[in-house]
Amino acid sequence: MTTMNRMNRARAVAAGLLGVLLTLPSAKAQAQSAVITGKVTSEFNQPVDAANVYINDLTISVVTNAQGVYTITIPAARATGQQVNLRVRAIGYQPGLRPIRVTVGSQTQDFALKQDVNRLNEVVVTGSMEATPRANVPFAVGRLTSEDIPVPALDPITALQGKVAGVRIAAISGQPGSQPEILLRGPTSINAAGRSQGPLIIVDGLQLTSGTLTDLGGLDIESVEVVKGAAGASLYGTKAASGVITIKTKRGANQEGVKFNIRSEYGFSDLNSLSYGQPTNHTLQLDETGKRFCVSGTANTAPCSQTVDWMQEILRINNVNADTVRTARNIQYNSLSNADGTLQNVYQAQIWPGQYYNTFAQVSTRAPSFLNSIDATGKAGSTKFYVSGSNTDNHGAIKQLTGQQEQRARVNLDYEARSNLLFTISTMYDKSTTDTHGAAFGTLLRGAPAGTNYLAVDTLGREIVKGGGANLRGTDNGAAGFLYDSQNSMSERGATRFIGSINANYFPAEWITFEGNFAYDTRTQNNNGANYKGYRTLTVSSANNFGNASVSNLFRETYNGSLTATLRKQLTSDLSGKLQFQGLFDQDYQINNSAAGQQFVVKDIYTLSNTTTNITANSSWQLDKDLGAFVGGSADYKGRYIIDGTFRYDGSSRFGEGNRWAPFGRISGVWRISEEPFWHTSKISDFRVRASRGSAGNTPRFNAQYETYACGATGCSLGQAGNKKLKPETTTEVELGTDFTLFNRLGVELTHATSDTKNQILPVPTISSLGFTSQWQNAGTLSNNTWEAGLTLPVINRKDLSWSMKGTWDRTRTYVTQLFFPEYYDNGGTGQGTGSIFLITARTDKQDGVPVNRFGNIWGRKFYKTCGDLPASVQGQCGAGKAYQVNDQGWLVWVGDGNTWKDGITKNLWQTKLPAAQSPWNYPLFFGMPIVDRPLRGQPNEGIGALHILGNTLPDFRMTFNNTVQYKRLTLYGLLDGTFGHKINNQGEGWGILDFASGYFDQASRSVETAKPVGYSWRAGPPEGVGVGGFYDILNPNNYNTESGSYAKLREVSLTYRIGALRGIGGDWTLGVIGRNLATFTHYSGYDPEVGVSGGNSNSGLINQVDAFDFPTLRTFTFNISTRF
Amino acid sequence: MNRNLIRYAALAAVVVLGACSEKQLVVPNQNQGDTKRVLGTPQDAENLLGTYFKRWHSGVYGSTTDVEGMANVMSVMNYSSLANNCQNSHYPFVGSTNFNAPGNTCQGEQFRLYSYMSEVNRVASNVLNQMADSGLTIGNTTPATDAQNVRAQAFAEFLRGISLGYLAMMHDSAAITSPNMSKEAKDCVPDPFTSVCVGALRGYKEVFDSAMVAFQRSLDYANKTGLTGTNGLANPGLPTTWIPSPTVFTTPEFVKLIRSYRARIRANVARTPAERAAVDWSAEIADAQNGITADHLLTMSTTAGPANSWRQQYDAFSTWHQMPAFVIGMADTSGAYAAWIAQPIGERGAGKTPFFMVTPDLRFPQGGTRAAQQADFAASSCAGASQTCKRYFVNRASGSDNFDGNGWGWSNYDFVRFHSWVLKGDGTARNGNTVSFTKAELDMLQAEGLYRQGNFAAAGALVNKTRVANGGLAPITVFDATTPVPGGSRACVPKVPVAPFNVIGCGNLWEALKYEKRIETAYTHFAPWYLDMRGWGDLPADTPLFWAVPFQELQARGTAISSVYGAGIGTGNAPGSTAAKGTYGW
Repeated sequence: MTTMNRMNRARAVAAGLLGVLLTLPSAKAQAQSAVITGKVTSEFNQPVDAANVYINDLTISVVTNAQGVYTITIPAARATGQQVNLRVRAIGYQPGLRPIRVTVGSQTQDFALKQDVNRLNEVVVTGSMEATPRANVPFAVGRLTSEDIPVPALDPITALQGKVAGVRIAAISGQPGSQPEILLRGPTSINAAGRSQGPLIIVDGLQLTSGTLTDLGGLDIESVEVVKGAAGASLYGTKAASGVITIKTKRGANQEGVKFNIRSEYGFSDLNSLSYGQPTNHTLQLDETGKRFCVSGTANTAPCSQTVDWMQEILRINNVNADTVRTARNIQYNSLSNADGTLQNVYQAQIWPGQYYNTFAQVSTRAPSFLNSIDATGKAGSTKFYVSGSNTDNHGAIKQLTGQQEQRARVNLDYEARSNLLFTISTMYDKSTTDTHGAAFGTLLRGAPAGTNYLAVDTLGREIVKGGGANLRGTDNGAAGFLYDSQNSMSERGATRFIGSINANYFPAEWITFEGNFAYDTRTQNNNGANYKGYRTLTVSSANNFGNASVSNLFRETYNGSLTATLRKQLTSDLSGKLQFQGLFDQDYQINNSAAGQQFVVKDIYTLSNTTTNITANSSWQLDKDLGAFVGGSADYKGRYIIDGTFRYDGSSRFGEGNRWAPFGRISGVWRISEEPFWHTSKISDFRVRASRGSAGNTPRFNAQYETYACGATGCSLGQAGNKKLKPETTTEVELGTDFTLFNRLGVELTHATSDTKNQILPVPTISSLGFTSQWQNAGTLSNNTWEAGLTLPVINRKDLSWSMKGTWDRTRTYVTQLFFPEYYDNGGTGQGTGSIFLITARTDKQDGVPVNRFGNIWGRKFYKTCGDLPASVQGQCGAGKAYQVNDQGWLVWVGDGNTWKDGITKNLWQTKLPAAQSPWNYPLFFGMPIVDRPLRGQPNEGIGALHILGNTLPDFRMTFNNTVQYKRLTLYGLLDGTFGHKINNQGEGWGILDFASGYFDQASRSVETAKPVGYSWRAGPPEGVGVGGFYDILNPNNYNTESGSYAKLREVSLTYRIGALRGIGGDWTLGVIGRNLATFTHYSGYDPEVGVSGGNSNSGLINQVDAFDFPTLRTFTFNISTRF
Repeated sequence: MNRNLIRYAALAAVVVLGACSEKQLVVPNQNQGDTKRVLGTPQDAENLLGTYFKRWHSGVYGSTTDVEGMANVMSVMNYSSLANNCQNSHYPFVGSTNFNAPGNTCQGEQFRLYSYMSEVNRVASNVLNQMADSGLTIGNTTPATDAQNVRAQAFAEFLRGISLGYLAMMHDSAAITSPNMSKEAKDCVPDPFTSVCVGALRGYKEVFDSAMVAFQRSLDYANKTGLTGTNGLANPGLPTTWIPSPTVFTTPEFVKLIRSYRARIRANVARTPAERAAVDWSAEIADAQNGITADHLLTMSTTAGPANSWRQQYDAFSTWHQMPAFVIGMADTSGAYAAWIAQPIGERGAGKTPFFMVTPDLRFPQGGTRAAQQADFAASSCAGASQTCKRYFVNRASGSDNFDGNGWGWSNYDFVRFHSWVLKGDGTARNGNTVSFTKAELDMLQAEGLYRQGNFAAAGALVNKTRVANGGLAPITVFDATTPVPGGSRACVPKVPVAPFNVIGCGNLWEALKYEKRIETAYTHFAPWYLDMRGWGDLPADTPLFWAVPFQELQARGTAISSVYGAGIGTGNAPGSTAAKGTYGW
């Protein structure tokens, strides 16, 4: 069957099913009824909106309105005077229960609900065999409902940001349409290349394996639940070692009729800051007027005999009707050092003549952002429905880029075919267009001269393509014009997606339930890119000047299903039991095709058939299948002791013959201590302890089991040796926790989890003469140790004023505890500079006070900062009046006896050095220069900078804090989210040093004592480099460019005013303003500490904490209006 | 009814689960083949073998991420102020070091040649082994003809020769996988996970010996007569995709190529002047005399291979391939070289003065001033398709000098001999024919052999070939080991530093031979100056003489890193593994 046939058939089935269900006859209303009305309020007499009032025996359920009022109408035929329990549940409140008698006529039943501070009465579905109150769940489950998300996110995962302990989510790219990075508790894979470090995500029963999370939207979300580790996630088997996130979308209301919600949000997004540490001064040579630059001398021309105006020269070289610019005049500049390495007196201290331009400000804009949505929810006969549609436009904040536009529709139906047979159907269709231009932030941050007006256009009306670089200054970085690219090229992604799932629940008897589930997801994606014919470059480029085009298409289809039987038995009056059997399957199928060509025949036609050379094509195919069988059981004794145990046996096609199947399981229990008869104190309530030990797995990348040859146009070459004996990485986690409420006010949740992920799937290098370079093997263990705490404090709870605070804190330490092949250095996901940033080792010794096997340690060189850093034999020469002193920037430098670090200019000492023969390191020391730690003369490895642990990319701890204050109709919400104690390798600063584009070394306001020549920052000395010291260090991490990444962000703020019904219009109107990412509090010197590089072997930007010119994060500020009727 | 429903549901569940058999979890990898599929048909097997010269070429020239950049800097052919490719940590005079610690910044560069050559050797050996022992047939007929089988065997042994040869030239030891390895217990070091024999590490001399044996086997196969069937070396020769070239490699041409590579490797594996002197120069002369008769061209393709990233990179901007004065200055007749040599090394280039010289050697730009030299020849004059650069070196455009790094590295001169190929080639960028092995290199190898055997006249005649035709220099007429080259103290070319090495003197026939070879082979193949200068004793003092077995390989073998390199992890230069102060006193 072809792919399209398969897709069409699935769509046809789903559409047909929907049609049938919508036309089914509804039950007819009865003339005579029993009518129960009432009002649900809090204990402080506040009406409780959206409380669920229900009678299980009659399978009737309704929801309160904004005034807390409900009405239940029962047909006369069912109102026989029988006694039933009328129950009320509302989020944040303890449930209410009242026995009533059902008779024809009206009766009133009001409820005043007590607050459920820890929300233990909420029902959760993740990790348990079936829906269970959190109080009875033996492991931590984070849960959010739409009420907890007052600031709608563009996707349901970002909505979790800062709200659940142990959940780390960061938008490491601000580009519209980009994915957030997720890490629950800690990493479970040392090497996740080609697979995921994140959790298993399930949406309405669909295992999400493809697409972007933004496809799902944020407004259709009813609840998001998080189980953070294997102790809870063992139920999900071979894919759940990194935890599980379950998303449920909104369902139809229980009441007949239709209710509409309309929301419109309009505002803008922009950059958080226009300051990125750029220098305002330069090192080039000016003439005596200080306004023109000296042209470099040649054999026949003396330097400075000719001068140019900077911008006139930039425009001159751009103003040419050709594919390349004219050759620029070479601006005179002085080399940093003399031939023998001593420094020249060159200072980055000259103000740009003419106008100064902030290139970041030039490229950014305040772009519109809007979201419009409408949904309808209600019930028609036996069918409940939720229908929604939305349209979003997020332009981003970069000129000429169009961001992402997305349209989405959802239809969710619940059809009660019989009193014991319920069908639940969820469908979604999404269509998006995304501008995938990356914009050249490297160019922006790496030396775009402050004197260049990048908004200038040449005489032909074109953006400039060269604004600096070679011939105009010392390095070529920063040469290109960044706006030209987006103006003269195309880069876009179009995607469509359909998700559908159907769930059938059959309750043939009280003691047994059958459930069948099938979910289907298909996504098509088309990427189109082109450089237009006539595309200008700095030098001749046949690949670009005549244009080029590339296309790639992705088709991906996944589905999963399960059959479940759940048996319940009240074994004694105090003891109930439950057994569950389940069979599961899933499949993921994808095809990727791509092609590219160069040199268009005809202008403005962007097809590959219009290209003539270097036409290439690629395709790939992948199929994954999983099967599973599950059995679980639980017992509840007196509602105080709950234990459960599960066993799952999973098979996966990602493993070789004989090793495809693996077992996973859990044993866990809860003791609800405060339910014990002996528990009399009211100071501590809802007290329970919980313990769980469970296991779950990670599968390898698709091709890990296979022996591979890389075959292409150039022929074949050996790839990796196959390994059919691979086993899953298996995480075994022990989670212990407790929850309680103090004084009925302060809710506390504490959790401690330890996990070992054994059988780490790692690419073990093979002996070269085998021919294959590596083989994936089970070769190590990664361990996590986590503490989590959550606090909830309703500070004020009065009729007109309420104030509640919530906070979370968590910390995780991750260690490599076993490695079955030699330790090795791993990369940080970027090219130059971070190839060896991490050491993967199981050694437990310490260096710099840190265990060397701590995962995420950044390794690099260290410049001395204090006398105590020096080797003991040298420390005596350090201090005031001595040869080694700490300068004004906190770096320890050599000054020579009798001098101070301030004497560089006044005594002309910058050009002096201590020869190697006199240096304790057998390496020359240059006056005033930072000194890198290296072995002393005669010690092993003499001459080579020593590697140190400079910090860790994984944080010491995280904290979040949010407040909700409601005064009458006014509600203010704010969320502060902080990550502390981790380090970032600021690679952008490394490049900035190389290109004299770091504000840290700008000498604008320095005195003769504090001014530093440019070589002070530029380039490490030999053998690592050719400079005389300095911090550049070939982009490698060092203790200058590796800095604290601690930050707190004002993540979300909203202020809403509920107007209520408008005269003559009706509805229930609310106005509000929303801010996202409004402020960042940090000492980090880069643009934004919420950074990271996707990819690399860890495959997580939250581990690869390298700042390498990513698309900057955006803030948004929007006004919204909504109503419901 | 409920009970019936339960029964039916249970039955359905059993049926569904029963259908979930193990077979459903079998998924093939349709993106990448394995050995079985790659060798699926005789034609496939032949095709695989046929791509491995390109693979070898990719390992040597296909990426700048290898040791060539380091070697060129160490042998003062090239100067770069960039950290790229570990160049600036391999400068001579400031502690050039070959690192080998895990995580060192050169780890990728150091491993590339080693791993590619090992792979080529393994694949070629496997094919030979399977042809001998497992009945593997090669080609597009079944059974393959003798001629076609022998062609494959000749080619496979050639691949083994050049791969083992390059390992021997650059690394201190390597494994030797051979066609009959499985039969030789001493070689069968099993890979710990696959149990496949991977070979013990053997010193570079043993590796070299194996390369020579492989070359001889290749020649024996190539020269085999009386073969039946078609598709042999005699007719039609190697398929054109095996070694893409305008030359059709029938038996005679293939034999010439084999002998040329054997000559290059035989001479250049020597680490020291003593080892170079001990080379079998008779065999070397014989190979050189029976090697290629014109420059060997390869037809490059950026999409289908082979591709030469190095050649492209050496035509990049001045920071990548500036030529320091040490060797090119030998051509100077203005006195600039003498003045430059007279300065302490740390003061050369003082005042931001890049080295400028005047020379009659026509391979350099002509003229007495920089402007005159720029007018004589600019790279832009040979930027078009099929244009030939009339000079090998250019006095770069004014204003493009780069004064970063060490002053002794600054000169006006860049290498541009293959500029038109880099820009246009035969019509498209970096595609088309380009020189891969110069006839001049082979002539100079022959000349060196003749010189060492005392046949100065024959050696001198070979030196004069390019000296006169390409350089326009006065021919050498007195053929001995001492007489200075013509021109007198001012006009002679080459000039060389002489004791006490702050002065220069006219070179003799030997120096003229070395000068000719350097100028004619600059940037034409892998680390040309490094390999020769190592054997001639011309490298700057303390320059490492080889690269260790990469630590990645040692780790995979469970061998201590320090046990191979002698002086501890990371320090790189074991005692006795670096050059002594040599011929020129630097």
